[in-house]
Amino acid sequence: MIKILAACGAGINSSHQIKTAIENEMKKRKYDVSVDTIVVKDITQEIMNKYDIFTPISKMKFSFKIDIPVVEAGPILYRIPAMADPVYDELENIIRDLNK
Amino acid sequence: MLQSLFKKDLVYISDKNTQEEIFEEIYNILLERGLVTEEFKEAIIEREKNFPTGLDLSPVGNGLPNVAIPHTETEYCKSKLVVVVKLNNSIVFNNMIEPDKELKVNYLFFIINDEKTKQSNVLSRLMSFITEKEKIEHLDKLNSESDIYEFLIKNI
Repeated sequence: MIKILAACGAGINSSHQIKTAIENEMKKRKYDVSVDTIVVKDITQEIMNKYDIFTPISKMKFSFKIDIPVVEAGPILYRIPAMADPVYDELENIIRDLNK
Repeated sequence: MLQSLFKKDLVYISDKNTQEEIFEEIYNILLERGLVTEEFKEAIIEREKNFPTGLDLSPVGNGLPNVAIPHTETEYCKSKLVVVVKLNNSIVFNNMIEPDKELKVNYLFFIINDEKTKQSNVLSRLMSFITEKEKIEHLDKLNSESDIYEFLIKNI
C-alpha cells in the first residue's frame, strides 16, 4: 500500500478532488494507493514522514526539508487527460520505483 | 444542485481594474446582504495572495478567456452560493497550479461556502463547466447579466 498525502489551501476541497482522482486512476492502473487530504498550514515534518509521496496542488515552500517524492497535482483539477495524464504517469513511475 | 447556487442578482458585469477593487465591490454587496462576515474581505485577499486561484484556459482551447475562482475559509462565509463576475477589463491573477505565473482573467466565480462538514462538489461541477470549450465560448458572447445567469443555470 502506497500512502499519499494531498494538500491544498483549504476552502473548496481541491485536495479532495485530487484524492478521488488519484485513487481512481491508480486503481485502474492496478496500484494499491491510499490518499489522505490535509490543509497546507497543518502540515508538519512529522506528518509528512508518515507518507510515501506528497501531492500538493502546486509548488509549496515549507520550513523543513521534504524527504519524500513530490508530485504537483494541480493539473488533475482540469479533468482533461492532456493535463492530468502527465501527473498520473509521474506518480506511476515513482510508485514503481518505491517498489513496495 | 449547483444551479441553485447561482442567483439572478449575484451575476455582475464589472468595470473594475484590480483585484483589490473587485474584491471590495463584491464584499460590499455580500456583506450588506448578510452573506459573508465582516472579516471576509481581508480573508479573501490574504487567501488569494497565498493560494492564488487563476485558471489558465489555454489547455482547454486557444483564445479562451481565463477565469479565477476566488474563495476563502468557510468561517468567513454565511451562505452557500457562487457569485459570477464578467470583467470588462481583464485583471491579473496568479495561476492556481503555478503560483509564480500571472495570467489575465476575464471571468470570476467566487465560491462562497459555509458548510464545514460536507464535502462540497461545487469545485468539481464548476471545473467541468469551465473546461468545456464550447460553453466558455458561448458564455463569452453574452453581454447582459440576465443572459449570463440564464445560460449558467441551463448549462451547469
